[in-house]
Amino acid sequence: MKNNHMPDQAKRPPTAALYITCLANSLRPEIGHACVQLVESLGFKVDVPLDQTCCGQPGYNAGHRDQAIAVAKTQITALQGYDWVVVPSGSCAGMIINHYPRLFDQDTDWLERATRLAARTRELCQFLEEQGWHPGTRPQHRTQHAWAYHTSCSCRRETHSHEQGHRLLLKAGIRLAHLHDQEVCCGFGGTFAAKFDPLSSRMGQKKLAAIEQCSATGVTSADLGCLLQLQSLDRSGLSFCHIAELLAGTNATERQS
Amino acid sequence: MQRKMDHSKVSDSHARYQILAKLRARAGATSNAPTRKPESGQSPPIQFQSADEFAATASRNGALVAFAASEQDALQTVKTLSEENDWRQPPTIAPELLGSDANRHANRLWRRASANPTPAGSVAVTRAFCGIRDTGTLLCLATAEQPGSWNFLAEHHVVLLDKGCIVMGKADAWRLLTQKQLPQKQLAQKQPARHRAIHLISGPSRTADIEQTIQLGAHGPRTLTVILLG
Amino acid sequence: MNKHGANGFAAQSQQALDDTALQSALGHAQSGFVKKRAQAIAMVDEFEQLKANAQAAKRQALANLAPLLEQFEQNLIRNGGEVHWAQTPQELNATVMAIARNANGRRIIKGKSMIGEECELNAALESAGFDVVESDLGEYIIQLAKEPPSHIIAPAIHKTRQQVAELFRQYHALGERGLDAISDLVGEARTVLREAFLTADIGITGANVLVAENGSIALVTNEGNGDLSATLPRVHIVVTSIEKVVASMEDASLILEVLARSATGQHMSAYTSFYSGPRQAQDPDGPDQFHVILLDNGRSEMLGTPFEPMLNCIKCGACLNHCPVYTNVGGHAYGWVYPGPMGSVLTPLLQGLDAALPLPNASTFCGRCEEVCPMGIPLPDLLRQLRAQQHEQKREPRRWRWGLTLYSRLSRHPRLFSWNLRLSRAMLRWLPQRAWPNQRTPIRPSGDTTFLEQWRTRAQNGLKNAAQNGPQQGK
Repeated sequence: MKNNHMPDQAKRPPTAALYITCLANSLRPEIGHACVQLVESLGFKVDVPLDQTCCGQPGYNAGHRDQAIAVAKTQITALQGYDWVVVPSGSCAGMIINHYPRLFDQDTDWLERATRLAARTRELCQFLEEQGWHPGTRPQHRTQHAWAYHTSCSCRRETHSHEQGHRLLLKAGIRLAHLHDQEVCCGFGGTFAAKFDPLSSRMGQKKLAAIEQCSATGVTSADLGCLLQLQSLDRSGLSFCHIAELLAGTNATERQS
Repeated sequence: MQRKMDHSKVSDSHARYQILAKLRARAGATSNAPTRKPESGQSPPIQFQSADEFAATASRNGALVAFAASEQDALQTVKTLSEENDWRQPPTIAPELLGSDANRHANRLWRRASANPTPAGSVAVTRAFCGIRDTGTLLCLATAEQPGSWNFLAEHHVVLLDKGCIVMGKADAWRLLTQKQLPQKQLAQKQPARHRAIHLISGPSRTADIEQTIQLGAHGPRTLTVILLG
Repeated sequence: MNKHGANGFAAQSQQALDDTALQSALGHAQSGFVKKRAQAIAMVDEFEQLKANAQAAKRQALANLAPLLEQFEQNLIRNGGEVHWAQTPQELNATVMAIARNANGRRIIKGKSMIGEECELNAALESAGFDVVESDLGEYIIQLAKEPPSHIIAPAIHKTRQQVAELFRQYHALGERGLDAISDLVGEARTVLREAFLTADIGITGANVLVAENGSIALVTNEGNGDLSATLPRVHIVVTSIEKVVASMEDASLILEVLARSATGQHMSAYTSFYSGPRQAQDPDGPDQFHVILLDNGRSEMLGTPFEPMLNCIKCGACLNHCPVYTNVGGHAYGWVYPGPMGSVLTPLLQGLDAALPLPNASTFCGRCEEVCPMGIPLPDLLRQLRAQQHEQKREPRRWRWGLTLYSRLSRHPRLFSWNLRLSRAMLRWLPQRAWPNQRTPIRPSGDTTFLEQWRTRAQNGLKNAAQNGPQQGK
């Protein structure tokens, strides 16, 4: 096991690994670029470990504990040696922070590694606010679109960083529409959406109805899973954009307007 | 008949043995056997609470609150309320409140009466053992002079509560019941070793079982009036 | 109970989604319970402390269940009551009937009891020739409708007022009485049920808490129906379960502090009564006989296992009211008497894993149930453990078993995983609309390739790019 070097400000910039998540990696790579830009703007040396795959949540939540343990070991190994690990998803960050250590309650060596990783891991908004992110020189005009901020259940209840996301959006000058029933789930729930599609769809449609009610024209969230769930059910042409892109100002919708 | 009952007793005791054995066997496996700190020494004396604050929490529960200087005044208030609100029946009053035997004969039990025993506009007047400020709750004991059913059968329930007998929470109320820290008037009620029933009453009878719409007087009293005495 | 039980969840939930009357009824519930609970909790200074107190009282009780139950029994017998034990619903039902027959009782009035529902006590009593009337308004409505409850504290929450009026017209001799307003419906039930209270031989209620130190049972209602059932008939039978015992009146009150606030958003329900036994010489009313039946039905098996926290449950219903699944499909979809998150845990534990395969999976793990649970039950975690049991016993659908296993295997091999993602991207790009479920439009991947591929390319060209373009800005 490599030593985990503590940041030495005088010699080198602190390092941050981006844990991109399998959904953003495969479906929305632009989120990764936005994250790199945001974290670099805080003076960190960003790396994206190429051996990362998936946090193992699909198997873990299905009760495949042994497999989840094997997957977690792969990720823990891939993510060692960085000062910070930044995850643009409350769901995957919560998995690493809250659930990895619980997987190794029988294995002291791995428990120690998992605990150490958990302590260094942050959900993106959590990280940005803790590190004092500000929109910098980017013109801070109020955005054209009114965005509904969907606080994902995992940001709310796993990483407790939904309010941080909200504050960052305000700081970046994003115009926010007031969304009702924010604490209600959008119906994604990983494999739930596939196993119980009609139910998941109804939950998503109710969330979209709430979004329409607040006259937002776009939806943002720190969890891509929720955004994809809502996008697949949307009939009214809303824009869907991960919070990283809105904060970084790299979102196509906003740039056109 | 009797034999059937005996049979059930036998299977009962088998079930009892089985259940307790399982619980004992598994108690060892319980990881979270906590031991709370034993209460150290004597608990502090009960702090009695202000009537105004009780009035506020009781009204929040939907109780009507009135004040009276004495029991006589309180009964006068009941009379006035009856006239104003069209409570048509003569009130059934706990004998101890009447101070004499004069009207005791009027207080026949409703239980198992033949004709409609609780007609529209019926009123019961009782005295609470104490009040609980936190939740605006009346603690009422079922006693020889105040049958428990009186709390539930009438359409309108009036409860007299001594201003000096209001405690903060339920824990203090239990202490009042079990300790000797009783105000004089409550001593009379406290006599039996065991009360068949202790009723904590926090507002009139209500239901929201149809479309989550609150309706008062589901089965018990439609109104609850607290008269604070003293 | 539902014909297919809990295993029919998928079909039953689809049916529920299509039932417009049910959807309208569920709409009322959602806003009502959630808002009232939030308001009640906002008015308390330290709700977290109240929760911690209640949990501590319960934990201590669970660690000492056997001695506490014996103490409860001893004290209740001293008070003149009788205690019975039942391992199964059949034993409980048989005991109730034996008591009723022994007392020559035929007419029974019932206060709402989930243990009664769990044992299907009404059906057993009715088929044995007893007259049984439910007195909780909601329970009475579903008794007329011949349905199981759809909510543990609001059994008829799935009914609209029109449906209730229809039932009353069918079963009551109405005469001149109208049923237009909800208050008419409540008044109608009051009139009819008052007669039943006054003529019943036997009253059956549940109990919310059992108090070991004095052999009392606590009964919480808003209507007062439980108290009339407990006070007026000659015989009072309490059907309850072993995990409800706590040490003292003080511990009982700690639980009461969180119960009503979590359930209906009241600080206290209108009536909380402690009954300690039959009437004594000086008592002018109360039953001549007082029986408590303690049901196990699988609960002792949960003690000392990872599912022990489920025994903390005080049946407040907060997890149902806040569950996005429950609030969309209602209680009947769950197929047994306990719905929502607590039901999805309890049903497989009490009925067997195979009797409720879909339930542990019917959750998005949004975590709101755990957040609102006053007793700190880690419901999502317990559901996950039930999924693990299904996996270990090979009870999950095969395509999920193998699909997820394959995905986990791939996740351990970065290169294979990367190929898989690129393959998936290609498939998603070309997958036709008809391959997606009806209501959904296809999700198409953006960009040329995966982010990691783009990063690898960037890293390879890093030095060159840096020299040519200056610092990277996003894509």
